[in-house]
Amino acid sequence: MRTLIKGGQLISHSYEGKYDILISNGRIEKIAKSISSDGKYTEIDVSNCLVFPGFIDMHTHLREPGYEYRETLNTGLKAALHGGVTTLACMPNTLPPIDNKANVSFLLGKSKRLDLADLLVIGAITKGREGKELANMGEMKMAGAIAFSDDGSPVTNSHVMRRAMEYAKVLGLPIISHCETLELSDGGHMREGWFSTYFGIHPIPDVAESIMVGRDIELSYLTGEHLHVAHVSTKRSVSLIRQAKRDGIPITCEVTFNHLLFTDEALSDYDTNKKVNPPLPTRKDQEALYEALEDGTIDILVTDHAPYAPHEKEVEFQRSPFGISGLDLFTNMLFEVHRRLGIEMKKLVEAATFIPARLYHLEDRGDIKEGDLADLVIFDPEQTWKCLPETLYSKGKNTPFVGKEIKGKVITTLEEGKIVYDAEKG
Amino acid sequence: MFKGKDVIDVDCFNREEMLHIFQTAKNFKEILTRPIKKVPALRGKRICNLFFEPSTRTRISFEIAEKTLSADVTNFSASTSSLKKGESFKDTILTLSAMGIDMYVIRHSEPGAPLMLKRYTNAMVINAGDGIHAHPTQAILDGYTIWEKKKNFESIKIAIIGDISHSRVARSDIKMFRLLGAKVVICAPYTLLPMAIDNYDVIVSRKPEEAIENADVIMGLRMQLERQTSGLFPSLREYNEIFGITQARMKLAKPDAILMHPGPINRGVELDSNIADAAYSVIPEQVTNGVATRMALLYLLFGGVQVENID
Repeated sequence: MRTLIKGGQLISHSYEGKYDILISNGRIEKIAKSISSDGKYTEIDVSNCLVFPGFIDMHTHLREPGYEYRETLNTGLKAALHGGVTTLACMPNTLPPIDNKANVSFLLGKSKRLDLADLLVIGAITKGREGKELANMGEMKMAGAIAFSDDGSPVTNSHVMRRAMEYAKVLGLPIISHCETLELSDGGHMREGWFSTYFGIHPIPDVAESIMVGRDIELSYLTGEHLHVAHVSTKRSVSLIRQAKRDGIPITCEVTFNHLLFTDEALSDYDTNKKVNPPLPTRKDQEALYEALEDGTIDILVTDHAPYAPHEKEVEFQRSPFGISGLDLFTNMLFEVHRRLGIEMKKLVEAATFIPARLYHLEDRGDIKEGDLADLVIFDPEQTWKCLPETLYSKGKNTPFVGKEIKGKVITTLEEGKIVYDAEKG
Repeated sequence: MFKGKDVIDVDCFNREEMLHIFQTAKNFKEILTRPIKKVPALRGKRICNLFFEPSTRTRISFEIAEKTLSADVTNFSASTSSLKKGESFKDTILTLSAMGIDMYVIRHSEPGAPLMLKRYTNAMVINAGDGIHAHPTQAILDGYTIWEKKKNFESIKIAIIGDISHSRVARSDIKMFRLLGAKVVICAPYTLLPMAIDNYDVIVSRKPEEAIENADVIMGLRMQLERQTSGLFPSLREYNEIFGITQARMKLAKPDAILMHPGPINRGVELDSNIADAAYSVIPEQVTNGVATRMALLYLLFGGVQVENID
């Protein structure tokens, strides 16, 4: 059976403009200005809608195993599809952590059985994410891990990080670094600046991030290992990364939607749904992030989806854990970045499809072109809806968008040609 | 203008409203000298003093102000409550809110706690100090004290010396003094100054001598020993030597200058041994003014208008 997606406005690396897409056997068979169905194909009319490649979110926390009260694979993967994400990678800070092949296999096996969005697994760099001994990276790779990270914590010992990078290089997989100098950030809850002073919230200086970015750049220079810097949030970090790229050091990085859409000033209401690590940037830092996204210093866009149970977030600001739930709103947040900052839609879409697919060697996805998997998102930019806790598939309702009217709506998500999310059916 | 308002920080009032609070406080101060210290202004109103953090002077000051105005007062303190049994802030508030409280006076170690309280109650909220964020009623009593002594704010220089970083009093005081038009100079080691402090439109000085010179008001802030152990300065002795408010340094101020301190004081640390007892010290008067200004504030928030004939 073939499906014809008709009349949509495509935005992807290979195609931009009004095209029809013919899907057969889960793949894109043909793309043309006009394909006629003649009653042979199942037709989906998507006029007035935008059509994107299924998004790839390389930084999420799905909480399984160990924190199922915050999220499960089932709820997290459904939230992904609702948000237009068809491929996503989960971080290993679970309980127990994903630091061995059995845990990698567990996640991959379970997600396959669920048959929702495609899950990629990031293994821990060190055993127990303790920053001491290397985890069995080779075995995890054989079980299917695609990168290594102790995300949530930095590998504080520079020697351990060096050896981890050398070892990962042999395996041909990148290291994703959570750059934070704990001695500098310890006890802080928002970015240091005028607003932390004004709100009386204990501050985290910007250099808590960039000092570690600097160290890891040097280790990438030393080892030649592909280093991917997670969630960059400061002007200093991007300027170090920009220089490192000029120097030919194999480094890439990501920014989260949270850091593009909110600043430290937004914490005037002490809303724990805006508490995140690294903390929301100052206006000046945020402007540097925009610039870095435009000039390609920042490679990819991610959510850093971090769901928490309501009771964990309904506490005093400084007692709340860090993290914002984001998968349900992936496409909406990307669209919001476009609307607010005027960054070209194609560029944003590529940063969440084509580029992550290339960085992580994901085949047949991240683009709309003939022969690729038919992972597609149909988005109506004019439709508005109200974001309420019950409209989110994630168990984590901790997003600043809750209660807000949102313009633009994911109508349908297709994975390998199959409708996996349909706004009308819910 | 005042009725039903929440007092989260001093910036919820404009200059004119603040002066009105001072004028009202002046009238109330007289009541405190009467043999029978009680007026029926808040009869039948239920006020809950919610103290999640230990406090002596602020709690007692509020309690006396509330009782003098005949309010029904309930005291809640974290050490004797269900918080000890693990009840969350939210659940504590929901429980109390079901008991018909008209106003909360809240002290909490966490910044933003009064705003969080607002999310779960319709009662009025007065912030009695939240973390290092704000302490508006202390600023009102400090402003009042200066108003009473100096009358005019436009031409005066106020020097605030000490740990600004960890001080909610300093943050609210600076806002208050700038609102009223005084020139404010702050002085502390840079380890105890928060980022971008000059955004408050104050002058930052590295030398206490420079800050105190020709000042009309000198205010010391409490220096805690734990700041030494967390590496913010080498020793209390050195701190006193370089940044302490001493008799010799006080001589640089205007002849009629006053010395203030929000308390509790550390003699021999931020203040030289005996200067808290000197003639220019208004520290004990600040405490009296604390009761009068809190009475004025409570009275106005509950809708009171005329104070002259109260009895």
